[in-house]
Amino acid sequence: MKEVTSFSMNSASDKLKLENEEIAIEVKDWNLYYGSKKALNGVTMKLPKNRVTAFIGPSGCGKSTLLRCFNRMNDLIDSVSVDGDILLYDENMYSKHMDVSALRRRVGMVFQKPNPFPKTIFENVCYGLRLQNVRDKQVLNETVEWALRGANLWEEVKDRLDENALSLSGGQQQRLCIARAIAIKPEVLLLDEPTSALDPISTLAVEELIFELKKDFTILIVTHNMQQAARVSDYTAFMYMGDLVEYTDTDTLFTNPKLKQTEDYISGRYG
Amino acid sequence: MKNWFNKGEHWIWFSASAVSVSVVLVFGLLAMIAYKGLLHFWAHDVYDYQVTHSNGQIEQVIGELHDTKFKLVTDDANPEIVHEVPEYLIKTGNRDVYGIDFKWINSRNLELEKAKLADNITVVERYQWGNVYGYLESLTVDGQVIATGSAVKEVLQELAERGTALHEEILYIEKTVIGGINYKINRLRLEQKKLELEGEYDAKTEAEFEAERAVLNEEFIAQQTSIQRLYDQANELGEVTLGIAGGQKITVKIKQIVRFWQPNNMSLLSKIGFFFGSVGNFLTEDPREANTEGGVFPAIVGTVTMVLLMTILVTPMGVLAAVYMSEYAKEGPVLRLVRISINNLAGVPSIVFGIFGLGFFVYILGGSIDDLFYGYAAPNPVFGTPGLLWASLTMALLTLPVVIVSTQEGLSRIPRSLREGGLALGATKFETITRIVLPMATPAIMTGLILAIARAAGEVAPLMLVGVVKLAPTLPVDFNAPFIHLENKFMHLGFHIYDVGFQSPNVEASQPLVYATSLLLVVIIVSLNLGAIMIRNRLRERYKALDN
Repeated sequence: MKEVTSFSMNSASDKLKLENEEIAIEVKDWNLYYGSKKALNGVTMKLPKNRVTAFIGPSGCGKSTLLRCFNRMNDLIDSVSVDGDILLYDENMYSKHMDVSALRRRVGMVFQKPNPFPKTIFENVCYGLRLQNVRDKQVLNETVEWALRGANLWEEVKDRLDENALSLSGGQQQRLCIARAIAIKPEVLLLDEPTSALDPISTLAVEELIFELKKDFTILIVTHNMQQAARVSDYTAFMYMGDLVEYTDTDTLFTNPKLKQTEDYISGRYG
Repeated sequence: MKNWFNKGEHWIWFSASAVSVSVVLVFGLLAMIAYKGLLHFWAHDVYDYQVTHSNGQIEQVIGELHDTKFKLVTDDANPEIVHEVPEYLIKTGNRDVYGIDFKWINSRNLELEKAKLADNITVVERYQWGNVYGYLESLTVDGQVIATGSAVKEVLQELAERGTALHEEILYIEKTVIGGINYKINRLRLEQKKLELEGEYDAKTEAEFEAERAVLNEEFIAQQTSIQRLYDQANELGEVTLGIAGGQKITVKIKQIVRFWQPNNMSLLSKIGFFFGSVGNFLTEDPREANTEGGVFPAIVGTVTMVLLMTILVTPMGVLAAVYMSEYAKEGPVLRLVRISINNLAGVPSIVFGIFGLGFFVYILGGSIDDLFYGYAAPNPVFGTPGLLWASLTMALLTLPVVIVSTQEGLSRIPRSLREGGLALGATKFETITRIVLPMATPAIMTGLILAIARAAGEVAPLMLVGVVKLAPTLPVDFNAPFIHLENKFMHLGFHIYDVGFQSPNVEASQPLVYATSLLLVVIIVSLNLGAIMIRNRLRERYKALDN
């Protein structure tokens, strides 16, 4: 188990400062192209450890693309080419020697649409462990319980771990996917619009979960919902057309944005 | 009316009628095959006809009515009038006396309007020369008449049962026991040749071989004598004399009798019993008399073995090819060309596959295998001759496109999100494919196999070139290790139909057998498919929620 860092509610009185944070991921002059079309334009930013960082911006601004760079999911698309550096604790993610599978074990991801495997709930959660050839029944049982508790799902499914995961509701499925992601104890958790397919009650459950999880994980979340960004995140990055426009603590960004473009977006004037 | 067309009602009617026509055709086909085929197993009534010849002579014809045809004849008095005169095809049996089994008679020449049932007529099925239709007259054992007239039936019943029991015992010893000994002797001979060729056949091994051979020979002779004893017993059962139509007599040795029955004296219930008995014999017995009588058991075994072996061969080939093409290969002109080739492969006539199988598998591959491993058996080929393995391989090649295409279809339907889910947990591409993608594609793979089985089980043309024979001396699967003999030639129901129906000297006798065999082939294909469909449905059930 990771050391629990003290965390604070993001209130105006207790201001977060990026300069005071331990940095988990550092992005340096990051460019990404789909074929010849540039999708990310010289992004440079530092993402703090054990904090929730939200990425907002209009559709097509590159926030999901950027998120998928952090576990090299974009490798799957043939036409993508990149340059620049992304460091995970000073280790270059895109170096030739990087084992991509190992990287993805350190940087977990939850997708927009719940994507449980057509297996039992239990098998879904311990899938990552099985990949690492963990065979010990007790370890598996304990990890599954820990992960499901961590994802606030344990109480709902503890009596039916042998049922097919597809029999769960959408919200439960998404929390199952979160449990599946945290079961292998990654350092960073990427959430790509995790609540966009969920109803308000499930959304609330997932948001509460995010709040809990940042004790143990560095969380990066992409969202279309600005209230959500304001509610759950410590830092917020606003992106537009492949550029990182403004990036600071959430309070400042929503109450006192530096740039007019940001203000226009968060006040709903465009986007 | 215009409204009716606008709503598209006429399309619904069109498509519904197309479906109805297809359904009617399928069921009509099955019903016809089933009716004609199953009729073969029924205990038909035997009629007694009196036919007047042009010279005034009256001839008695006794037999089963098999077919009726109408001949158009102009009236003698008034040429304007044309009569339809029925002609009957009568199965008279007694081939050894009459020369042929069947006789056409014209209904105009019949003495009586109505056909008369022959009283107490007995039908005797023989191992050779087909059926006898006649009246039991006397039974002789060891030159002594022990029963005459109505008393014969009871005694004959008992003796005939003993005869069939003896026959089965002889068959078992000949086929299984002596067959096994022969198999071992032959293996010993080949082993010896192999050692001789390698120069390792010295005095010591020679002694061992001789000892082993002596044991086998002794066993062989012992079995031979026991068979001879059984033959003698069968000969001593005696013979029965029947009076047949035309006043002649036929004497049948009791060991020659498969079974006998008196159809006109049988109740409906015993006819039904007889029917199921005949079906059972058909399924479990070896063919007799150039395949025109007896059962089709070796053909059933051959067909099923070939299809199962084909399935085992085609599944890994097809699935691996499909996985490579849709998961690993880079999209481009080469892949497009490969795809087009595979699709076209499905349209290549099956006989071409047969030629390829013969040229490549049998002669080149099999020939090389023989040169490499079976040089000691020369000049007799082992794998360099058509056989089960090559037939299955040829069929696997023939059905490969179907399996590849449906597997690819299945793979492309697995949502991208699931692959990403697997990869995001640190799985490699290979792990994602084997643990998530392939299991979920199993229903599609099964669909491919179902189509492959349907195609392979019904195909005959290529098989004739690569392993199917009219009459195989041994089964491809038996009790001699290694139990499945890939190099053996085998029989196949499809080829059996062709052979019985069109290559047999006795077309009319074998016609019902053709229908019965066709029905059986359909039933076997359907049941193989049903098995596969059941597995697929179970798999689909598991992944069903995924389709939303």
